[in-house]
This record gives sequence, C-alpha cells and structure tokens, in this order.
Amino acid sequence: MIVQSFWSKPFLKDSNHPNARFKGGWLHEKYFYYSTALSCLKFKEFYKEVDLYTDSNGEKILKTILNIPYSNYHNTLDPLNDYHENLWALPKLHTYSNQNTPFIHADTDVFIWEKFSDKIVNNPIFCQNIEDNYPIYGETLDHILQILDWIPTEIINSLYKHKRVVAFNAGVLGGTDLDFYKKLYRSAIKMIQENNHLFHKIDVGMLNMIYEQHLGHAIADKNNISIHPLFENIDPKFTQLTNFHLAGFHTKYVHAIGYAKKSVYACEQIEALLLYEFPEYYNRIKHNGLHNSLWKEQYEIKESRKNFLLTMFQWLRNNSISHIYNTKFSLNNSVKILDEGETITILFTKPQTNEIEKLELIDWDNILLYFQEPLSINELCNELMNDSDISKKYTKDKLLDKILSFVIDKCLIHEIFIPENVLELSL
Amino acid sequence: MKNDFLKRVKGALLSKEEAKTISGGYDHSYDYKCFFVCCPGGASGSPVINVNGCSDTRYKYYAPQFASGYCVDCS
Repeated sequence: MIVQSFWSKPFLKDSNHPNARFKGGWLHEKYFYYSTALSCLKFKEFYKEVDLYTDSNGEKILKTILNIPYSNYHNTLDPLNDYHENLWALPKLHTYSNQNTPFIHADTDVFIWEKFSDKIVNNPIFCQNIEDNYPIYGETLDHILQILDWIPTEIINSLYKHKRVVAFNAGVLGGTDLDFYKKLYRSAIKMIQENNHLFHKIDVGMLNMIYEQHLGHAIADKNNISIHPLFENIDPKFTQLTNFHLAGFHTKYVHAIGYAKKSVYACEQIEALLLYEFPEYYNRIKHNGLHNSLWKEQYEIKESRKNFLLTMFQWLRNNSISHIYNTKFSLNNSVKILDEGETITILFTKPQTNEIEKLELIDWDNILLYFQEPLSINELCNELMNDSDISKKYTKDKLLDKILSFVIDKCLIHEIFIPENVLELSL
Repeated sequence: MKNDFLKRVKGALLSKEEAKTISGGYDHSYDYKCFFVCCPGGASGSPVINVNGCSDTRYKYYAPQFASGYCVDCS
C-alpha cells in the first residue's frame, strides 16, 4: 500500500521564508499539482493502491477540482489546523501513525519508474537514505538546542552515541513496525507541545527535519530497530536522486527534494514528463486548474520546446543504451564559442525563455569543446581512456555513465547538444 | 586541438564531480561551515574564535564528542 499526504495549511499560508511551504515550496503552485499528479500516477503503475491523506481543502482541490486519481482519499488532517503552519512534516507523521497495515509513504515530489525491492520495503523500517552528519542538522541543532525547553531523550542519546548527527531521509519511508511510527508521532507531538511557547524565537520550519528524520532515527536506534535504506551513499545535495535528465530510461527514481522545487529546469521536466506519460491527465488538470483559478498561466512551455522534449523522451526510451552511446551529438547551430585565450565562453539560447545565455567553460563544461564536430559518447570515452591517468580512475563503463549524464543534461535541459537524426522523428 | 581540450578537462575529470544542472538539498538560512553544536553551560576547554573562518564571534570550545570538534558557548 502506497500512502501520500497533503496538508493545505502551509500550502495556502503566504510566506517567502525558505523553510515555509507556501505553494508546497515550489517555484509556482501549478508545479505542486503537476508533481502530485505525476507522483500518484507513477506509483499507480507499480502498486495497486495509492491513497492520499489530506484535509478538507486538500480534498476539495485535489479530488473535486483536479480529480487526481488516488485510489482513496482520507480526510484526516483537519485536526492539525491548530498547529503552526511551518510544521509541514507533522501531517506526514500523523499519516504514518494512522496506518494499520505495513505501508510505504512517498512524498508527492517522488517519482518512480520501477517497483521498490521487496527485500527493503518488507523490513520493520525502511527509508530513502541515511543522512549521516549532513551539515544542515548541526546548524539546526546549534540554533534550537539553545532555546527549546524539552528535547526527547533519544536525541540526546543519539548525539552522544554517534558523536555526530545521524538521521534518515523520509522522502520514502515505511515498513512493518507500526508501533514505531505511533511512538514517533507521540514523541514529536510532545516535542512540539512542550516547546510551542518558544516558537517565536526559532525558525520553526527547520524543526521538521529534527522531529521527523533525526528523532525517527534516534528512536529506532534506542530500540535497536535496523533502518534499511533504499539508496546508499547519498550526498547532501542529493545529486544521485535528482537526475531528471535521465529519468525513465536510465534512472528509475527521482526526488525533487528541497530547493530542486525552485529550479525552473526541474519544474519544466515535471510538467513535460506528465504531458509525455499521461497526456489526458495533464490536459485535464491544466484545464481544471486554470478554469477554477487555482493558478494563472506562467512559465508556459513553448510548442517548439514541447516538441523537442517529447521527441527526446521518446527516443531515449525507445532505444537501447548502447544505441544512445553510439549516436553522434553535435553543438546546436545557435551555440557560439568565444575563445578569449585562457577563458572560453559559449553563448546559447536558453530554451525555457529564448534568452541568450552565457556559459564560461569551467571544469567538466570544457567537454563541450569536443563536440564541435559530431561525436558519440562512446567515441569520446575511447578518446579519454587513451589517457593513462583517466583510465586509472575510471573503468570504461563508469566513464560512459558519467559522459552520458553530462551529454543528456546539456541536451535535454539546455538544447546545447543535438543528437543526429533524432529530431526528424515525428511523434 | 584535442590535446588542448584534454588539458582543459583532465583535472576536472580526475578530481571533481560533474556539476549537474539540477540538484536538491535542504533549504536553509545558515552558512554550512558555521555549524557548532551548542554546549550546556560549564563546557571547558580553550576558547577558539572564528573557527573555519566563520563570522560568528561566540566562543567555541573544543568538544570532540561533536562532529565539528567544537561547540558554541550558549551563555
């Protein structure tokens, strides 16, 4: 069973604060709706039941107006409305604690292209990844421990045991130990209630990761419950999990975590993926959203850009990875290289806005220079592997993987590279 | 020509990760390098100011139990 949750209070509360969740934290509110629809529909491809736990506003917007096709809507979150609007993780904990059977809770900014491993999700607790001493936790604890009156014992135990801050990421979270999730909710509620009178002194939004992800890890740790991550060795920028450019053909899991929601590139990809994979839902949600004034037209994808993206999505999904490796790419005709000696800059037309962008070639971006003549990813890797230092650091497969990511990023997101004989394809 | 390209890119290939257009991470308001856990009163040790080049001038005590190795005097 997949469960998702949406509490409308932070979504509707106007705020510019980075740790609030006005518009769900997205660049524009329409992307919250497109993301929720895409997430729901992708999970439904692999799981029979995908339920949403929400409040009365959420039910009205997502069910009645947009008709996002959850298997069941549960109106359970209205009782949380007296809590501070920046406590946006609280409805998630409430939802975990309401489950009576093993569950997988997925945030509505998580998208999958394959089912999760049963070996992982059938454990008492599983999570997206372990967050081992990510700096943001230390900053937050530094800030709040001076001020709050009551901290759960498990947090203090954990800090002293590990001598660093260890947490789990709850982008996807669940398992079979339902008592653990009930205990986590009770403890988080106590932490919130005991410190409520001090909230005016702290950045309340920063508290979410503490009472959900750090406290959850600490309670499991204290009770000797193993936590099984879906992904290992994830860096604090989550670069392995935000590969929108590889989604669906090379990457099977994407999470628009944190400030990815503010990226015009990530938001465009989410809208385009919904349009490509579920065109009927996209058109209906867009029509109903605009017709009911849920959002105003902004950041619209131009027709030429839509055609490019849809053609590329089709080509990437309908061809083997070896075919993609052997396809020649070249610089878009509109790209201009300005060689000023030590500094080389390119000018290209940003496809999202049609404005001219300037990119100084630094580090990996110098790879662009190789593509002044048509070249395949495979040919470039062979060329680079002739260097003894590079061939010591990389296997051929690892280098192919890295160059694929670089080339498709510059192609799909920026249209700096164009693959040969692809755009002539008609959809 | 290709040797020139290799010179420009080799160092990055060997020592840096590709800078992808889209990345994520937590929204935050603080400078990463200025993280120090706040110690309870009475922490002992030699005070160190501006560790890691931070502009925070509160006293920071050596505290090996925390990841940064230092903590901030709460008082």
